[in-house]
Amino acid sequence: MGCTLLASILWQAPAIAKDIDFAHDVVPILRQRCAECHGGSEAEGGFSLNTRALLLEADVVTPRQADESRILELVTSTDPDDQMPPKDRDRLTEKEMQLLKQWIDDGLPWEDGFTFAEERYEPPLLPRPVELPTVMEGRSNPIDRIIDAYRVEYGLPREVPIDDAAFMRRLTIDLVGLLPAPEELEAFVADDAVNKRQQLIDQTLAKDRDYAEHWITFWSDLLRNAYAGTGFIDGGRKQITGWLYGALLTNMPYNLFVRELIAPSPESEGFIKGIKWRGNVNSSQAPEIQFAQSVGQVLLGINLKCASCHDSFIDRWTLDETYNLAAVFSSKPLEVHRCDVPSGRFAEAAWIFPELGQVDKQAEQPERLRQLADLMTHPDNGRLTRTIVNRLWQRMMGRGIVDPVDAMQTEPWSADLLDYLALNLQQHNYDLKQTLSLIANSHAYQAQAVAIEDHSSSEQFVFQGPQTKRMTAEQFLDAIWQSTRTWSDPDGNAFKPDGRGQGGQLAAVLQAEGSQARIKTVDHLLTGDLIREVLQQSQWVWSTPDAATVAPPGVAHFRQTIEIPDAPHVLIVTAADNSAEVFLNGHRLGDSGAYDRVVILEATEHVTSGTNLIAVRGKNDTDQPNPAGLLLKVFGLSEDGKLQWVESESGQWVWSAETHSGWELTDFDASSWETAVVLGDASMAPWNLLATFDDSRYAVVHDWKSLWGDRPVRAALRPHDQLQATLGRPNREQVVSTRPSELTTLEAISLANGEDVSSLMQHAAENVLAQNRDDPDELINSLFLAALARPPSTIEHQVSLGLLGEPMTQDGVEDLLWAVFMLPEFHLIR
Amino acid sequence: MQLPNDMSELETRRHFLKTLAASATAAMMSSEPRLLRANDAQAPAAKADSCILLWMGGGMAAPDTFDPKQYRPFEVGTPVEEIISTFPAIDTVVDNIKITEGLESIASVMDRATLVRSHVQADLGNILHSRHQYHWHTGYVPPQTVAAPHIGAWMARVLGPINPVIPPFINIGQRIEGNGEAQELQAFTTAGFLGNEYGPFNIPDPSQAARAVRPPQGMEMGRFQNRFQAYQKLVKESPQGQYASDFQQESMIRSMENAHRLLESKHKDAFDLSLEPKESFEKYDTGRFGQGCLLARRLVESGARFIEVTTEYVPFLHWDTHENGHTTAARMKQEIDRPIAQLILDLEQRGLLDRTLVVLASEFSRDMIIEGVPGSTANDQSRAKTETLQEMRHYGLHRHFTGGTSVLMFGGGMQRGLLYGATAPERPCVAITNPVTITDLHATIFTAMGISPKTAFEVERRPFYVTKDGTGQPVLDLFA
Repeated sequence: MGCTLLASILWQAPAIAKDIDFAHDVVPILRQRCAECHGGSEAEGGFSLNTRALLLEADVVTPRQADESRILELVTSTDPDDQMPPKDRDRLTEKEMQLLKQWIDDGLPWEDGFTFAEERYEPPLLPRPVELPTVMEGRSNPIDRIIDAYRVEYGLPREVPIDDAAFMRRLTIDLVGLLPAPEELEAFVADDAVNKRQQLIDQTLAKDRDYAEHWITFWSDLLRNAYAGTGFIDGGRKQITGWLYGALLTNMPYNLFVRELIAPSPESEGFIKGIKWRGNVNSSQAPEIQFAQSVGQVLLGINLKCASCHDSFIDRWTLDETYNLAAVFSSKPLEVHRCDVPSGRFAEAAWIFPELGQVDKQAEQPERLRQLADLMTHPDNGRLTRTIVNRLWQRMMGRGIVDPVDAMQTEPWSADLLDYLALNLQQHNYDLKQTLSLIANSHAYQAQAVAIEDHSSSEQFVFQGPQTKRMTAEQFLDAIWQSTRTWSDPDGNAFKPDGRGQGGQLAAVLQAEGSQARIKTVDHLLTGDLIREVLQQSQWVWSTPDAATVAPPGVAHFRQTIEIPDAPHVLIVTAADNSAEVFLNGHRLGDSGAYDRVVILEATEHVTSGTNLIAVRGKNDTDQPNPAGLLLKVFGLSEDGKLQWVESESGQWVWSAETHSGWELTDFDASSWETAVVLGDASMAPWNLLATFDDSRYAVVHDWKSLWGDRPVRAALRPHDQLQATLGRPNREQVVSTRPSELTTLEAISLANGEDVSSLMQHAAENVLAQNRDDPDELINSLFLAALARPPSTIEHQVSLGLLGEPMTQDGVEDLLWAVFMLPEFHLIR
Repeated sequence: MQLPNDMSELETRRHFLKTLAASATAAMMSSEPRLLRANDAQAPAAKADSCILLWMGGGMAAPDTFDPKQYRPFEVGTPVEEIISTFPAIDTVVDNIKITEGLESIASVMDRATLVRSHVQADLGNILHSRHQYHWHTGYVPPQTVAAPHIGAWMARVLGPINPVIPPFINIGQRIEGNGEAQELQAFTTAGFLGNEYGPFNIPDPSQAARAVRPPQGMEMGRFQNRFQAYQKLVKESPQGQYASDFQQESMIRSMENAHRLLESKHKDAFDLSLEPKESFEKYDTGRFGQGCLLARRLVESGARFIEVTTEYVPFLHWDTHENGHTTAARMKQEIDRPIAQLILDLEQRGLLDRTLVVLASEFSRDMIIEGVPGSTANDQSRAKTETLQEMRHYGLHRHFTGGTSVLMFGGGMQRGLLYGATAPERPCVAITNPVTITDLHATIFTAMGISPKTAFEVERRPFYVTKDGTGQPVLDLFA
């Protein structure tokens, strides 16, 4: 009776317009209603619906004929002995019945490979000590011990070693992202020391700056660190460039690195803050959920993206686990949303491996983050170390031990190797360079790349040797710039972030290098008391005598020629109403934009002994006449921060309202300028600077640009421009762990006719010709050595000569450079 | 995800030309997205081969363009709530369709058009143009955990190029440098997870398009070819060649060959506007947008798959009227009216209109009073706030409105002279009949192009659909 009734409701129900979505519509029903008894290892009544084949085998459904399918009969039945789920369980809802019916009528679509069976492979959590196989033929590197045994097991031949030159090129590109210089290459090849490769590895890894400038690419991709990007426009994003660079420069132990990312300082908080665009955001992309997703993916190789909307259909992670992890970060109660629909339940801060302990959900957010950092870096969390050593292996060897590297639930091709490297990292104080060194020192790394013929993923992967890697956009451009000395100038924003926090990356780098530079010294030497002492000897000046009450609006240029005595640190204190841009001997030092805060400018670099010119562009920013003033004083500090002298009034200020070309330069003739007026001392009204001055009211403006000098700017530290984008540098809106491995046609078009590339080739050819105008043989030889780490063959030499022309022309050199830099051999790291 | 036995494999009518695709092996790589399914037995037969999107960047006000309402001329002292349209309505060649003054040329080809007046956008709260543009161009609201592809990239990926030497996705008219939302614009002008191969071929300035497909400036074709021949010899000699099976190397060489095939091909003339007869050029030449329309026509004639031509989005410029809206809209209409009508006539005259789907759209509409939709929490972003009109600057639709927007479609199997959907005659002018979401509009466009709205690729072991979660439903009434 009841059966008929329900069936009739089904028939009358309006057809569901959209096609059935197996993963989203059907799986949840089967999982919740059926799989507990008929899925996984359970098969009550001999019926399992683990796979489509099993379902068909059981003869309970007829595709496209729902009304003839036994399964539908059972779920709609009200007969207590017959019905499914059994009588002690809840019935399916009407909607669920409709979906099942539609699913059957649609032909029972099933996701390829989907199963309710338990995952065959569950990656271990704990670290595992590995018993190393016996050393064969003196090959004692632990990696080789494992892989030698692996090769025996799989019946594979030994690797073919690469020669010294190929090794050096591969090593330096991999570890520091640069080509070996030809003379270094020759010296290395000629060296007959037995352990010269090991020495080279040590020397290369010891180049801290090169290392940091290279690996910042890898980490910025993973941590979504960009100098400009989406979200900055509304303060929805923050750079971590300075922190990240510093961490790489000092080879910060990885556990500490992770700790500072999860429980951050203001310098490293950009990672967990995520990216927020203006306006409302889908709940699965709220910053809290991004936190869970990024922490999962980057640090653990766990994909929580599915489980951000619903329990994952592809692995074991659930919606609640994602939300609970997100709640560790959330500073407010976090309601669980399923597919963007609020559930009424609230997440409870928890992390995903309670075996290791748990965060206190009652604790405040900063404490919860600290606890999460403790758990993440817990010595028993083998997943953290496995994930990172696998990433490093992939960078060095072209393919992960687990691959893809973000899917750490995948079975490794050698659990021994993965577990060994992971524990080894932990035992060496989480020293990532040590892991890189271990890999680089192995025969496995120093082997000829294997040809990749078949990428079919269906067959089990067998390791046969390193795979060829394509250079990243950054490696490619650095290699060209380096081998042709065509480094370009820093970009305009590199030294000063804009109002949104974009740019300023080179200043951040310099700041991170501060311990080695003068800048930090100056910061440490300066104190509020010392500045007050200088201010007490300073005066306000402007163009007209009543400027402290009314001054004309607009710009006033000031100049003063003064004697500056020698001192280890020469500094300038300045304040302005409304603003002042300060030049010393024609060099722009910086600007000051407030009358109640002082700015300290560094002048040491640009002082000449004896007479110096200070020039200031002052501005009274207003439509109406109102007060205007400039306060500026030069002072000298000793090495240990003692005030050596404060500049006496050796010169006199002159001024002009007009802007003359070169007005700030020493050779400018300012004889027609008028004398400026000293208004009063630093305590005078309306500014009352001395009365209000305290330690919070000064800032040191470093002259980052001159500190940078002519140091090359690596591609990784340049903005994400069109060329780099074309060559595969991501915009860092998403976490990226691998770059595109192939050159596309659109990229090839840019390389063949793009203006960036052709002007680069022009510039490069000029440099090459400036070095060598007369000897084409030598030119060809050094180009091949620099670019490919080998001399040209006879035929290559002839082809190159043909391009160069007789005599060599600028066009010819450009074309040869282009042809060599476009070779797959150049692009690929073998 | 694979279709079970009795459901068909991907059935696109057109053969996917592999010439421009980097390599067949690439598709087999585990990191490469995998096509999951595409089927639609009941879908209307696709007629369109090519698609031209005419993008009115910045929010084109429907009441001042294709959806005229009560008109009030400028008069000092008029309360702003009395103003809905700032242009009078004009007749079109279709009896029941009126549009606004300034669009007379388009009015004369309205019998070839399907006009949808009930397109609606999501309320995303406080409005950022580029975020709505991202939504419109990809079907997904940012941020996303997977980089969403532009609809042009989907077409390039699923259908491939028509002519193997013309890039399948061409993007005309948007300059990036110096744009305050450059990063946001770039975030959706991309093939996303589909990979660079399917990304846009960017032509920021249509008058310079020829340069994009010529050898570098200052390089004669002879030298260009000579350089490439020498390169090919060096490739052959390189010891790298020992690994001839290496797919990376092969695809690199093939891509370089493809690039040179385009740059040396006669088809590149399609990019060169100077080859267009003067008379014809002048018909289009209202500026960059008009030239973009002409370039689009030339490229479609040569076998381009998807072309976007934009009036260009620059914050506070063009259609982005936060003040002085009437005057700006009048100027914008002058810029778009003639070239769009001419594009339609030219396509028709060449017999291409039936197989070319032309879509004019914008990220949202505008209103004098309402920001977002009624009841939205969006911040008011008008720069000419006033109770009553005092000066010309006050006159125009200065708020972003997402409740009802006009979309104009021509050709490609759409109906002719059809008016679909309506917005309320009085404020708030929200869509009151047949609302069409971005998802369904995309489903319509994709269906017209022969792509199922449920087409998906697997990325990171999850399906990613061409319309949001595969839910797009084509608006069948629009199809002829």
